[in-house]
Amino acid sequence: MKRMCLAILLVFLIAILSSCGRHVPLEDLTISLILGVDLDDENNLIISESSPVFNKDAKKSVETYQLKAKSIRASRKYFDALATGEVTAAKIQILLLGKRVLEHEDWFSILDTVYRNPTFSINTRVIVVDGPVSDVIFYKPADKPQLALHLKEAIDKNNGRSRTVNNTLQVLHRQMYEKGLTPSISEIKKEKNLKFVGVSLLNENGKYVDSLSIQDSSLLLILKDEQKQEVTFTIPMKSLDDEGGIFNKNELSIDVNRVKSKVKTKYDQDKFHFNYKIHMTVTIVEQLFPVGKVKEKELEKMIEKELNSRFKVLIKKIQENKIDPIGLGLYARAYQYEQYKKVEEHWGKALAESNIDVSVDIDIKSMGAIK
Amino acid sequence: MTLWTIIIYLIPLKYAHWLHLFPVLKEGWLPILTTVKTSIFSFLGFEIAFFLYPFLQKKEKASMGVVIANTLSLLAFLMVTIGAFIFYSPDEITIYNEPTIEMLKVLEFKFIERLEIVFFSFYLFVISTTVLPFMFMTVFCTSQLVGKQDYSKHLACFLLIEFAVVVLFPPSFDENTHLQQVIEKAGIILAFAFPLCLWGYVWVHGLFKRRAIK
Repeated sequence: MKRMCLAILLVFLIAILSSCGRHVPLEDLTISLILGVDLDDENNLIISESSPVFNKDAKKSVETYQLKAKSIRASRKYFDALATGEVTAAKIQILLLGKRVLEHEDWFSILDTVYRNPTFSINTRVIVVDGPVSDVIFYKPADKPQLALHLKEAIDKNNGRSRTVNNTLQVLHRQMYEKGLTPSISEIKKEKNLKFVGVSLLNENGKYVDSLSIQDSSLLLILKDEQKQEVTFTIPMKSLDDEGGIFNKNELSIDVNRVKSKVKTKYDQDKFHFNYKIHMTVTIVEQLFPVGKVKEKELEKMIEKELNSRFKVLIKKIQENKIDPIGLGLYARAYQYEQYKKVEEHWGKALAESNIDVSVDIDIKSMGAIK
Repeated sequence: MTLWTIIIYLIPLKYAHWLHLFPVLKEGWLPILTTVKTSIFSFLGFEIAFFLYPFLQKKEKASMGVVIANTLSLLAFLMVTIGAFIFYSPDEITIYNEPTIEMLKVLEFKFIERLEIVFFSFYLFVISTTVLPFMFMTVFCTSQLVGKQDYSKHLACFLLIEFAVVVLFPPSFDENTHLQQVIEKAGIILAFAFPLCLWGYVWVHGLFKRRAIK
């Protein structure tokens, strides 16, 4: 019994004390929270990083560097030369990708170390910057918390409201390698303020092809069946033949409570057919036109018509660009594997030729607290 | 003891895409059957019963124990495998060396990040159950060969040798995989071919003996 106790104690001591050997105080670390990858005008790779400073004497709480380097790992030695402590990548929260990078094919290989080196966190949020990355990474607004926190919160919150995709490094990896799916990444822009502008769509090789607005991103999320608890649409009731005036009298906002979507996959006449049936239970949260102008049943029809046409526009955009941010390739593989296998390598092209039907079915659950 | 690891594997399932599982038999049965060879290693160990059989007190329950033990490990493996299949796309899963370990990297809570580092230090204890029975059998058999009941000295020697080998010739990933493949083959022979041969020997032996009595 005594020997047993001693043995257990020894195991615990070894387990605990082993961490004392290589301790590093927090002050001696430069913990990168943002990593930026961009190209300059002469197509040189520019790596930037931003990290918090844990020192009372320092006037600024964030240090940010930007330099030319051959690769992400190679950039570390230059950062080490600049920063106070050892630069570590383990806590990177945000990866900023300049749009200039995405305009080239095969840029994805630059991120190799992020996946190969186990110290990198795989939950890093990936964001595309419309414009130079340096504008964003050196941006220090007085009314915001540190940029890394601000960006992470903002992207998570917008994702929670189904306005943008939540693209971590893990998700990006999947989207890059999966043949039946093309990547879609949140996009930000620095004008006067830093703001979300929507989702950038990449093609199979990772090249940037198009962007979606915030409203269209919600539609994309519904098609992907990845909507979160809150989905809101504000749509003009065009059929009211009312110009709206200054107070936009024909606007209607709906809050989507439940989305049930079904996809039927068929292969017929040498092309794929995808038949979406989307059933939404909605609550009306804002209605600027007077009550009694339209009946509830008509209202349902009007919303259906409007959403249907929006989905159509989105799908047309997707098919024209020969991309598949929705992931319909997964449906094709799951249900029509024989045919999918033939076109796997050029799925975007096959999708462009296929037939995608969306029919929305709206059910108004409540008109709100007032009539 | 391995149960809680399975619960941890349930957490990444919020990123799951169930569509990855379809179609179930993508290329027919052949690729499935060829992988049996690799997966069999995890189920080996039941042949230890063969050696321990003389020491068992309730011999009739031995086969039951083997079946139950292997069913339990089958369930655990099945869950982890399906988890990895729906977490990763079939096109990307082949890129990873250890997809089942890699998928735990996404675990993140409000109060702790990089949970996988904590997890792996505990996981060592879990994974050690694969090695421990083999270790035990090695020293048990060598001590039996020498004719001693006490195997603690053999164990100490064995551990010392193992430690020295690892320190002096640290194996690389490739060497490890190679070693595993060799052991897999040896294991299959020991678990399936060896008992058959032995049975054949006993049968032939019995045949001759009977003839001799006549």
